[in-house]
Amino acid sequence: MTPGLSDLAEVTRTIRERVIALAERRGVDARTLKNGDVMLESGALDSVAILELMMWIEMTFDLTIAQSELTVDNFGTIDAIAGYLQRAVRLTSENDRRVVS
Amino acid sequence: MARPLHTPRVNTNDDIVRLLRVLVKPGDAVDVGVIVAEVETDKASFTIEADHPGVVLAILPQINDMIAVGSVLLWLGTSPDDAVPEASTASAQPVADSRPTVKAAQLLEQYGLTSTEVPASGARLSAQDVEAHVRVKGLSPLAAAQPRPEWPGGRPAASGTPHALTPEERGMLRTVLWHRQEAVPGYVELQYDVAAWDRVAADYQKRERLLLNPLLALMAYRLTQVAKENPRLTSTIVGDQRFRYDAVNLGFTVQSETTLYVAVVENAATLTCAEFIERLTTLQRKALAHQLRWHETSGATITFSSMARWNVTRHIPVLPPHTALIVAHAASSADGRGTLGATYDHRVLTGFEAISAISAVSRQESLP
Repeated sequence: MTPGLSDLAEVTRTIRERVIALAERRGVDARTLKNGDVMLESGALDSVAILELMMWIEMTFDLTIAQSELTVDNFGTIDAIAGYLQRAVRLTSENDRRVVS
Repeated sequence: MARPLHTPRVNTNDDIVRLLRVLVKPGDAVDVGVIVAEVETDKASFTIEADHPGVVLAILPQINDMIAVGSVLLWLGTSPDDAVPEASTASAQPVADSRPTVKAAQLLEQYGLTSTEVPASGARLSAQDVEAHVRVKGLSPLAAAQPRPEWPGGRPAASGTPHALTPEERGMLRTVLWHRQEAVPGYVELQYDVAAWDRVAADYQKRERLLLNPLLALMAYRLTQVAKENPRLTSTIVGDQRFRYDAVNLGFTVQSETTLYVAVVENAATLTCAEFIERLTTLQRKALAHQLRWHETSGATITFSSMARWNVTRHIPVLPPHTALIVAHAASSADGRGTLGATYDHRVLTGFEAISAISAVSRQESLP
């Protein structure tokens, strides 16, 4: 089930589950990964797994992530991803309101 | 003593062949296996080799003559002064070619006819003869036949220019003729300094503030630069010619679930390193989402593949169609050494060229 983006804790938990699942596919146990750890540096995910995570985020949250937004600040950690998603939804909502008015 | 070299049978259906080229001249000393001439049938061209050593005494037919299989092509002697038997020259006289033309033969096949059923207006049955015959008889083609391929083995997907092979290249091709129309894969590998590459990648990632580790993209980019410097790496064999591609189109393998894609960065050697990485990342994302367009998976002229993420320490990749080299990157071994391998088409490249190419890739040169 797609989590509501207004619930930061729920979004973070959902992303974390996905990260652990992607790591497990590579034979890596990422259950001890902290939400603030840089995923690539910790070895939890490699570059392809991060791209797979991006694809999952786009599908799950119905977003398009521009190439220029693929930065450590936006997607380096689980916390960063959750924050990015909230910002992205807020921007989308503001744009929608402008269109409506 | 003079001994004849006969025109060999190259195809069970062809009793006559056309002499295309003679690669020796009277007075030349030849050894067993030296290519002395090239002939063609309707289907392909073939080389003729000396089957015994000697000095070329005389070459009987002229270029473009139609010559009978089994006729004397040339005489070889133990010394340049050996006499050529006079009577034998008669067997080398050009013969009249009464076979249907190639186009006529195709039409006959298309309509399910034989050459004896169609009257010829000239020495050879022509396409016009067959067309007139089917018109008069009101015949229709048989069930849609597969068109004859324009290129032996299929036409390469990327543009390029055919070049005649050098004698040396022809020699290498000859050694692998058992598999003439398809790539003849060989494999070589070497060990290299993983730590040096890791440092380069880490520095680049930090400097460019990249989310993803650029190691594989940088190595692939390095391969494009190596290929740019050595166009032989981006060549293939089509028929009896080397087909040199116009561009370095870098294929990069991407595994998405159970599907393996070769995503293609077109004109990769013209891109800056940053442009290349961005383009490759975009293609990787599309591949993982199964959204690559046809042109993004077609026309690779050289390829890079890695199975390091699966901790595979050696893999021997299959050559993509019409390419001569695919570089294989693998996981480091327990002692920290990395292995770079290459599957190469031995019709196009020697093992030395393949190992030289991956040796160049293993060095972190020409990178920003």
